[in-house]
Amino acid sequence: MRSRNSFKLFTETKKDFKNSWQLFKENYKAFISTEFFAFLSFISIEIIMFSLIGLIYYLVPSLSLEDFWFIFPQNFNISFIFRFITIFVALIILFAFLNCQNGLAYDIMSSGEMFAEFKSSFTYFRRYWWQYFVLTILILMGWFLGMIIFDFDHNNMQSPQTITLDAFQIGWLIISFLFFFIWFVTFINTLPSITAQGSLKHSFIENFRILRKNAKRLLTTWGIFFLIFFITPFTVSFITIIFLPSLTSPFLILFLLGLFISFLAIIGFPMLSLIATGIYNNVEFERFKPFPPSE
Amino acid sequence: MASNFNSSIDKSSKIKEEIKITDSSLALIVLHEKKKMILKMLLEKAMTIQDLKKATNLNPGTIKRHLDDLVKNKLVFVAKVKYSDYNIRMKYYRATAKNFIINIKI
Repeated sequence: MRSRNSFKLFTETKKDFKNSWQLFKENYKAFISTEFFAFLSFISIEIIMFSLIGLIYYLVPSLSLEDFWFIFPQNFNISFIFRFITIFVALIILFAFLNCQNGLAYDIMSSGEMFAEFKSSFTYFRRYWWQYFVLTILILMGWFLGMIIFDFDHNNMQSPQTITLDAFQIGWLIISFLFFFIWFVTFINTLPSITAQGSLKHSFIENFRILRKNAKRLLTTWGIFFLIFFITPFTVSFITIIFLPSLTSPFLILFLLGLFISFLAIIGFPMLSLIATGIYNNVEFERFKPFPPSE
Repeated sequence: MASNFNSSIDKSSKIKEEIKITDSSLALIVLHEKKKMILKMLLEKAMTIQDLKKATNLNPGTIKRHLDDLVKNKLVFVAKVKYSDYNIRMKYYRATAKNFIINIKI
């Protein structure tokens, strides 16, 4: 009986990946354009903000660069407001736009038209920008909390050549990854739910209803997702740095990091949105608005 | 629950035998090259945007815009909504008549 249940579980997980991959292949242009626009907006805002520093610095000779950026500037207010605006405006645009991919996934799976267009991202951005931002910060908090748990010796991180990990540190690293994974699984269903329901409160309630009734499926599907998109590239990068120190150079680390981020961004994020929406549409739980939506 | 998802809304009884188009603006819509191509396919059977994409090689966004125009002018309607085994919602479009005759007097 147990083996039949686990077989069913893997069949469902296989379906999640197979269907999401198929839909991603058919709609990759809309997803990649959205990501490209998100990253381009982020970079553009940063460039504009840094140009503004130059302008203000030029117009107000009494100010120094420390007033804007350094950790303990003489003029704390200017520095704080500048950093707040620079980082938050850019991050709101980046995170909100990246999560508009949930809107695209909703268009593909739930609207009935079975395709998504890049311009729909702007509609979802207008509708849910702050909700997407809040939920992304919430999900990413798991990563930062995990990093705090994994108390990496700061001196070890100074130079890649000096990274040494003992069994204890590897254990903590695994625990921090597991922590992030559990955190991620706990909150990830808020994203498709907010797109379908339009209410932050409802999305949290639905998220926990899904989690309570479908924990095994969520753990299996997201476990495989983590294995493909996080653990494998991370492990490959780490093994290269630790066990092949002769090959290690700042360029190699940058290359691996770039490869890891590109892999995650180009394939990982769209797959995440499609899988999350697929699970949301397929699992059984009490919904605020019914699925299928009425005509 | 899953069986409920596979339900479909069938409105095939709405299809008329013939519709005479007497309005010149409507005639222009029907005679538009791409709309005519889509409408012709929907005379035969109900199709999704993905089916139309395969049959016409047009971009799904373009097909959707033409379909919206045709739906707005009551030349096409959503005949049924089906769900795939992964609960992907599929809207099937169909022409509102089996024949369209343009009859304009000047």
